[in-house]
Amino acid sequence: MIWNNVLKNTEYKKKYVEYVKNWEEKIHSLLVFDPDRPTPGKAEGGSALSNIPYVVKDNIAVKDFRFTCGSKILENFVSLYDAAVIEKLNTLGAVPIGKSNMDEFGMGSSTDNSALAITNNPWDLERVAGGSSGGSAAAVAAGITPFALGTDTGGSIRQPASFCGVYGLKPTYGSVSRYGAVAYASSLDVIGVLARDISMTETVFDLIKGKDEQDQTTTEYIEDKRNLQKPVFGYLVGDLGLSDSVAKAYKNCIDILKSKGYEVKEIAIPSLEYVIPAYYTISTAEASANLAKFNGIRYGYRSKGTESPLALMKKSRSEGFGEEVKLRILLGTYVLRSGFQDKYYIKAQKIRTKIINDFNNIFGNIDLVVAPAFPTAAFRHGNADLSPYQQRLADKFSAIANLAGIPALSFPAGVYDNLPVGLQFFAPHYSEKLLFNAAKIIAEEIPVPKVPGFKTIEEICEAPRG
Amino acid sequence: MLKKEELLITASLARLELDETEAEKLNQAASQMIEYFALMDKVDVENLSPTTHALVKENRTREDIPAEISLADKMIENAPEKEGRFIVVPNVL
Amino acid sequence: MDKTIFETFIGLEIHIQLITKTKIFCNCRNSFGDPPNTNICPVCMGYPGALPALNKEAAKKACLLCLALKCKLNEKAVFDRKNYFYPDLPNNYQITQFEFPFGIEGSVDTALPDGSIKTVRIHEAHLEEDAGKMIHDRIGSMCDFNRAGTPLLEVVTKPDFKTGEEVEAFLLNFRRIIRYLGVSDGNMEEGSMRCDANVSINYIGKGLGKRVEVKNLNSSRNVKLAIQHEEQRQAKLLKAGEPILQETRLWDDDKKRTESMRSKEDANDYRYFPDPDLPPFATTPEFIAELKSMLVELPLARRNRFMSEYNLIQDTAEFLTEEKDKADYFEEACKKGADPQNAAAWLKGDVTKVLNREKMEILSSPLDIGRFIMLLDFVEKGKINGQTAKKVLDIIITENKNPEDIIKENNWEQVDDSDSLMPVVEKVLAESAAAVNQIKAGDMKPVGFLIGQVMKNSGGKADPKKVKELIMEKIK
Repeated sequence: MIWNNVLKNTEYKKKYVEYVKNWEEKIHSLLVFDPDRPTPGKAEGGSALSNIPYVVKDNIAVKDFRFTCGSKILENFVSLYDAAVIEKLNTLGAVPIGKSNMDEFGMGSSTDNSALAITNNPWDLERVAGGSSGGSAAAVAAGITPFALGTDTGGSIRQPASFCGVYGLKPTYGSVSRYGAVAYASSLDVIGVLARDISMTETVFDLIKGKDEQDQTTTEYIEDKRNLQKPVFGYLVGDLGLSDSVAKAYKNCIDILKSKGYEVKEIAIPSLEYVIPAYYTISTAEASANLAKFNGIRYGYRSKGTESPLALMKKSRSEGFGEEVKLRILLGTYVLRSGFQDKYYIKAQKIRTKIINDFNNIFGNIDLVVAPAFPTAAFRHGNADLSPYQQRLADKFSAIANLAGIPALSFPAGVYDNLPVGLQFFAPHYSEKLLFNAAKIIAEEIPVPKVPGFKTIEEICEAPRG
Repeated sequence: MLKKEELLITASLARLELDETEAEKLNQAASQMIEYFALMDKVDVENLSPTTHALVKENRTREDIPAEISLADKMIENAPEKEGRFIVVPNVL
Repeated sequence: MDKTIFETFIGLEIHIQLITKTKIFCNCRNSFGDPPNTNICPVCMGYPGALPALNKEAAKKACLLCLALKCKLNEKAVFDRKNYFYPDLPNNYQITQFEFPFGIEGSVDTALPDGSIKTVRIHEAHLEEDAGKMIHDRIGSMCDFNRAGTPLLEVVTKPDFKTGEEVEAFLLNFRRIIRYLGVSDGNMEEGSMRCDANVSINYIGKGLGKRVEVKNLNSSRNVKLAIQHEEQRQAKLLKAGEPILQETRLWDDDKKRTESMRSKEDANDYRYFPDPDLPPFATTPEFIAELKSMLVELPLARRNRFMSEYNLIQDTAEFLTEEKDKADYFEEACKKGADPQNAAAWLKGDVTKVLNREKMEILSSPLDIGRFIMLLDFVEKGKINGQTAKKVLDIIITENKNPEDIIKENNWEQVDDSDSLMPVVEKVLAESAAAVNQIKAGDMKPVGFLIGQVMKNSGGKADPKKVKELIMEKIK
């Protein structure tokens, strides 16, 4: 594989950098691109990731790289340390070469909420790459790196992955250390992998998972080895509010599974309709506290000329945060206020229990759920296709996995009207292996699509210049 | 619609300062979401206990051993305003 | 305040900094007095991406104190976020325990100055993080985050106190307890123990009045003074029919009075919710068993036992049990054969005097238990007299030498043989005819004087008992 040679071979590197720059002029997936970064760690020859470049969503700390979370409040902030996952990848010799654009603090489904750049979908530059890990998804789809890291709080890896036609893994909650990932909603956040190759997704996940001393919500990863050979699938029926292309892709996927001889059962998730209120209540409540640390005092943007600490904090936050972030902070503050907590926050946490119970029941009968990743394919920039409110309501298929803490993988399920459509699998806690196997089954029939202009690293490096 | 007064109390608790147009716009958006949250009234979950921590298996603690490396000096450099090793804010009093 | 009309209710909120090597949620040093912003890291500075990780030692010490305060331990203690913005609070929320603290429903017995025992109920005890510190200057407020993340145990009592004196006695006892357990050094001046008092007074029989919280109390004496001042202030208002505001007041140590804090900030709504970064902490039977093995006899119980077991008067027993080290030292000496009365008298008297002068603690001083017992033994056996023993003690402590070497080097061994003493006695009697006559006439008063003269003439080495014998023999 040339990927682990591309940074070391000057000729290759030159061609590679040119390829990246060509794409970046069009898609702006990266906030930082630094291929000259020295190879970290030991870079043992034996590691599958040795010298392989990758990009990191800009809410994950990489030492000496900018660390903005897509926000003006951290526009000039540089990380002093590496996140736990980066440390692991460093010791394996993988090389972070860039930071990818994102919706500010992970809040959004388009990456248009970034204060620092607008990322375009490589399939159609008029359209969004999805979000919040839109930069990571676009970069991987364009072949800029073989994998990227993202974070997923309510679908932020899986939705952009589906918009860009790549794999997006949201692991089991607590299976990957969050140390160094800027918290949006701590009880839902998880770091995951985006890649065009399912084996690469699996390899990276296997290397970054595990209990970490710095993140006490991580757990020992004890693999659930249920029914790996002949899993039983479940799928949703009824009006799911899907666009035509997603509905077609969904049906097609079920048909493929059936035709390949897998048992496929209709299922219902009774709590599905309560996912959005519960998800937005919990995530914004946690976010309102998580984002309180940004107050202009110790680092980051500070408003000039204020005369009291109170004014300094208010002005720095009001000038530093974008609209969606302010909205979610307000919502989260509201649902936690005394007098409202029982009605919103506590209620939402009880619904979460119900969702967990629902999945326990479901996984008593089947092994994997097939679900849409998002009701539509990539929408256009601006609010014409989907308003921000509609975008939020559309998170229900993805956010449910975060509320339940279960692993989920979105996978390419075909290209319709020149846009990729993604679907996802849900599996029980600690059974990522089931997800990878299921994705391989689908890939036999639906190969990962290549966006026009995409080149493999071999093609990039072999191609005559000019 | 959320009462404007409620929005302003909430903004103040969150240390956000909103101008008129912003307050108007955010109030609209917030109200829309909060009205949607009313959907939760319809589900009966009274007998369930809230899940506040996703997957907890055991007590987690850290050994009481001091770190050897320090980022203290670099963190002081990061502060927008400092005096010696202190980080400065406008006077509280 | 007229105690026939009014009654006072006082409850305390005591914060103690726990002794640990590192902070509560990160591995920065937990130490006092370093240059500003030395012991800071991404976690305790609220840096993006950092996460808290609970220190095992902090959890243990917190629960150990809960058990000593006879609290029940919650089966599952939960850490919560208390949301409020302040420049010295890096995350702008404090991690604390709200709904499920480590300890609930305990009680503490305290001996009051009048000898009675006061039982105060503990409402709850919770573990939390301390904030940083600010120094206010003309250029601005200067933030130092060294203290941010120091483990704090907050102990909240029920409003069971009736007077400032009770509170003062309680705090002294409480400080002894935490020092006995080794969970905190309880230094109110340095702030490792801080106390806020909730004071409310009302007409007798009317129950609790409006609660006034008094802060900024940096000694147990100030707590007492502030409470007494509040009693006067509130009684005056009640008598005049004026309302008492439920508020927070600060003790002004210069003016010796409390003053309203008059906060300009909006009314707080802390929006407590469980911290999703920290799993709940289960206080398992194994954990509790481990803590129980770490419990020690508390000062009051030990004082009472010293009185009955060693037949000591209360004052002496109280003195010996002030600090655990001292009490341990005493008991160890007794176990090794020292006479309890004798050992107690020495410890309370000259040993303490010399140690205080040299600013030493007994355990780390050169007066190890072996030397102490030997010293007492020499006096007992008549090898040296009491006066010489004091000089020997001084040299043991200041020069770190063995008592027998000191005695030998200085040739201080007590002289008690008649042959050596008689010439001195005869000389003194010859020079003190008046005193001798007085004694002969039956007035024994001058005997002491004569003994003193002989001691002086023998360089302090004479055995006073023997000298007296010889004087009486000679005069007869």
